[in-house]
Amino acid sequence: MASSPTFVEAPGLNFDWLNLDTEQGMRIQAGRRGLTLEDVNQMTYGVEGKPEAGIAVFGPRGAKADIRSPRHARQYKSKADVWSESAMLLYEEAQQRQWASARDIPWETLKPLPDDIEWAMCTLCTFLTQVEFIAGDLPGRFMEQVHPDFFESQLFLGTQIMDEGRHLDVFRKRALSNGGGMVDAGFGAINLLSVDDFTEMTALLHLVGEGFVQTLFRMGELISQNDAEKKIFRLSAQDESRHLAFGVTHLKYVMDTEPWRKEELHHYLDIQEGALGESQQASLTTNPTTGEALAILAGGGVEHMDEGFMKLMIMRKRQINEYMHRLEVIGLGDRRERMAPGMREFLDPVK
Amino acid sequence: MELKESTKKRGHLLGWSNELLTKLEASALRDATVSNLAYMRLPSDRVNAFVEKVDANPEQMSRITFSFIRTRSERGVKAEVGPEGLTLDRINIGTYGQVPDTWPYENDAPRGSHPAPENYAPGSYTIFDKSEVWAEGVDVLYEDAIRDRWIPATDLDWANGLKELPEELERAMCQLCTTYSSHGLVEQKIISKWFEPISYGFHDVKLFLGTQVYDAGHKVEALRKRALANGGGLGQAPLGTLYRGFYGSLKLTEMLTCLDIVYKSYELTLFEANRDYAKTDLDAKLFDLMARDSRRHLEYGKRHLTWYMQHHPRGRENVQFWLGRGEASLSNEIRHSHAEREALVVLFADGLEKVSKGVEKLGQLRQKQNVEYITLMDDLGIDRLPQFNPGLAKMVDDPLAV
Repeated sequence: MASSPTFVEAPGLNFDWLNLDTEQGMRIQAGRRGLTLEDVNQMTYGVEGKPEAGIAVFGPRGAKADIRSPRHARQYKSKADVWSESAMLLYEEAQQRQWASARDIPWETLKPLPDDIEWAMCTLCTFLTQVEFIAGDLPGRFMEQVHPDFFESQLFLGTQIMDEGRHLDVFRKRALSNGGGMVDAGFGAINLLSVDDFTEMTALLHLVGEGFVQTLFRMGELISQNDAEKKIFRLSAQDESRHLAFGVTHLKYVMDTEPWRKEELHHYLDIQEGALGESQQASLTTNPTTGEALAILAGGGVEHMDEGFMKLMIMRKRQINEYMHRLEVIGLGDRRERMAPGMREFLDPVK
Repeated sequence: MELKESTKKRGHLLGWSNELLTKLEASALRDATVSNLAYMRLPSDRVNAFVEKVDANPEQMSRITFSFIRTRSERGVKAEVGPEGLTLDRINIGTYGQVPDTWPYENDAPRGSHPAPENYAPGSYTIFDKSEVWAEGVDVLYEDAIRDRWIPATDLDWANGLKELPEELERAMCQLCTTYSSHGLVEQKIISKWFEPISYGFHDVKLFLGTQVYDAGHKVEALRKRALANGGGLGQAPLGTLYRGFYGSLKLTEMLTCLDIVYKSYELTLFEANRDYAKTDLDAKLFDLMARDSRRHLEYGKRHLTWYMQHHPRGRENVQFWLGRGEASLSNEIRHSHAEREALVVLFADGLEKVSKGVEKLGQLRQKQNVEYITLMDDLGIDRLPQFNPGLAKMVDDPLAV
């Protein structure tokens, strides 16, 4: 810096903040991706070496806390409870990959469709707009509980809320723009609101829920009838991949740093897979209403639903095998033997 | 299976032959499914092809219902793309755009849809009154927010937009960044905490608030980066009594009054001042972009309070009460957390040599903040001056008062 401050006595002024012992002098160069959170994650401002949060106030990590600050009771103390090693990267990626449903979708490519296909798409969109609503509410609940020392996770969840809002809006827009409308609302994903813990939320929402939806969106080409729908699914899949990556890396962090929680994670999945495998409430590809709609879309009309169902089986198989792969990345490879039978039957043999 | 007369009649209207109807009756399909096929207005050749598939695999295909076609929602909706694309206001048409005063469903049925009677799971929503959340034109504000998005990492010129500053000026800037970054963090937390209670009928509001959460994240991120990017560091964390006002709110409108009216009015004027007194190009752009976001948040707050006061039976009285609480928490923060005001003094004075000039300018800023706030109240039809927080009022003449 250019010069040392000249202290001036002035009534009513204290200036003690000019002489704090917080670390100064970080020098950084913006890179190809601009100035990222990872670039400023240095010195005492970095998150490394902080397995536990500091006092439960709202001060930014590395700032000097005000000892008078009121406490905030609802914050996780352990880094493992909320952390993902990819939070910074995924946050920056989320910024760069925002899109606008109003303008980035070629809405002009929508053309009148036969009723069976139009209403099948509207059925899928009604379901997805329900699900995306919950997928925004739930991270919202847990953002409050992230300690400021691990704020990058909170920031990432903030981008997820933005993404889910956009998904809600784009599927609603699709349902209402081509001569169809909404169908009656089924169960949606409201059961997810029953979760009580950040890691449980991540296991159920990110790993299972978004994982299965992401596979479907990536196969959106199979069910799309026009470029508008293809782009909706492609862009939404890109967003879901980020959410999913956050979930996988959070769960991996839990396994790496608190391996004794393995059975807890298995338990969450036991319950959720049971819900997916044995009930038709929550699963997109096994729920009868959305299943029929997907089969119509994948087949290309009611008269080709048999082909559609076959494609759905391929989709289901892919969903479950990709899920298994993610479990292996997390460190839960033994889930292969414990998976709900209704899902396990789709697993490819171990190579 | 014997088809009902009404199903046959519907088939005939579509040109289905008696032969086809007989074939359908001989299949594993149920009448309801055939009736739904007819409801989809499918031509006979497609129905014929379908029934052949059913005959080939009766076990699987007989389970099909096509029940989705019996939707009770409005049909034939075709939103038109406008000059700004297919915006949210463009799909708020027909019954899908009708926002009821009281939302009737406890589940996640989207607006314009109806819950399937056999598939109803009540959720944790608690806000069902439109008066508690609504703002006229919130759908347009949402699209404005989408259009105005910016990216701190790349939209600010980190390579060339900063320059070396005298230490006291750099520290002052870093102090302000520390304070406002912390405010952004809590803004995110408090808004997102209120998502879950808002029922689905008011999704437009939730979408807008989602953009505010996103914007608040920018404050956290961009200001932290700014504090650390120019040779300085973070400073003193804020006291946090301001946050008690947000967190102590027992109603969503109370929280919005504290955050999106009282605080945002103050913040907007402040960010504009920081832009005008910026020492680097990057700082000017940063505060300009944040001010643009704040202006939108304040606009939502204004429109919501207008709606609330017009539609809630105790709207005006409640708002007056909540304004008092919001002003008190802001006043306490400003008066008892000296780092921010002193940093402003240093920036306004261009250093430490002429701090009295900085204090004078701080007084002018406080004056502007108060005038703009009172003007806002006047616009809302609230005569706030008689009840205006004395601590905030006093800051004009004595900006360093505790």
